[in-house]
Amino acid sequence: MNLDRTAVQIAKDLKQVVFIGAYAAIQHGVTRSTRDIDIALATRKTYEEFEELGYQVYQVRGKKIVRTKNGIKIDVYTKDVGGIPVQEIFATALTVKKAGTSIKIICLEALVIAKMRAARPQDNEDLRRLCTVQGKNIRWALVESMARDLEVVRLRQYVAALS
Amino acid sequence: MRVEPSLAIVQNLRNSPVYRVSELYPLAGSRATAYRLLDRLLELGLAERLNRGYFSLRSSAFQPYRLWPHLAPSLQSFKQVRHFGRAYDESDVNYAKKTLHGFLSLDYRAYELTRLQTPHQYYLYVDSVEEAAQLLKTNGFSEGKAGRISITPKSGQFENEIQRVYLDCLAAGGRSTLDAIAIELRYGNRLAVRGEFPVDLVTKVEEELPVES
Repeated sequence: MNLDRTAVQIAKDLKQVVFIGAYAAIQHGVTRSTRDIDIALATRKTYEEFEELGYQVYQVRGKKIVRTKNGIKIDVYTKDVGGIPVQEIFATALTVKKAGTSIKIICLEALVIAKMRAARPQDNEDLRRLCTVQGKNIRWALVESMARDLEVVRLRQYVAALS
Repeated sequence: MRVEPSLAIVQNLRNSPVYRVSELYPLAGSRATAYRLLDRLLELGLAERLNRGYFSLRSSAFQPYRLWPHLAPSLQSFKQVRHFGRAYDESDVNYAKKTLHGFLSLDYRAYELTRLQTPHQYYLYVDSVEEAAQLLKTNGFSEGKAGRISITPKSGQFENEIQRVYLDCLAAGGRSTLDAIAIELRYGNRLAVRGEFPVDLVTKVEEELPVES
């Protein structure tokens, strides 16, 4: 499974895209990810547009699922990511090089907030790891601009406990 | 290992990556009882002490109490694990695959069984941890926290391989919970003991499991 190559292809196909899920978390120091790719899009794409670009659209239990040609599931976000507006995700995204191509990934601050809000077992583990390895690199002014006061306090506690 | 029912009171905590010890006071009834509760959770391998009066809980602590005795052998093995690294990348794992023998569990075995998540830690039960550690050290590996090769002594039952890997994943919690769900979806008929999972997590795994060829 080469998610880098898949991510580069997605970036080329969809243009205005930020990678936001576990794939992005790996770029920030998380060690494991599932076999899907979560993305934020600046403008909504219809399922027909995905199909025209060579993506496969399936209907599973009444829900439409988009997969790449090599079967990787893509989850698309066009409004917000864990409550953070997509425009803000784009404005704060980082650029990384993968296979000679620049792609955009969610910034560390938005990622930790999204993980904290999702709070599933895998998100808590990822958040612990991010606070441990990246706690000192968190830009608190950016966190304060995106998160509620209580969330900022909690996040500071996590970093104090783990880093 | 004895697992007292009173420990399950910890399941009343909110779901969080870390907790303050003081959050246990109202649940335990007193500060002293809270510290005794935490000590037992640490002993069982369900909790980890962090900096400045904080601790974390494995997500398996939120599995039904009736499952805790089944998770105890896995949790004890996690406590005894020793980590080794040389290049701290996939080459370490390739070396371990060629030279170490034992019962493979967690990330790499779950990946072989389900292809759901990228593996990271090469977690191996070995007959002699000392011998395996010596072999790794004489071949340039260092022992520490960051190494990807994890060796631990065998404890508990290994007759039903799928069941043991499943219980290890369930006990480890976090991302390994997804591995446990995937194993249950693929090999449910081989499991006598099963965990409980939120529907949305099961749906996520169902959608992300590669199609079987």
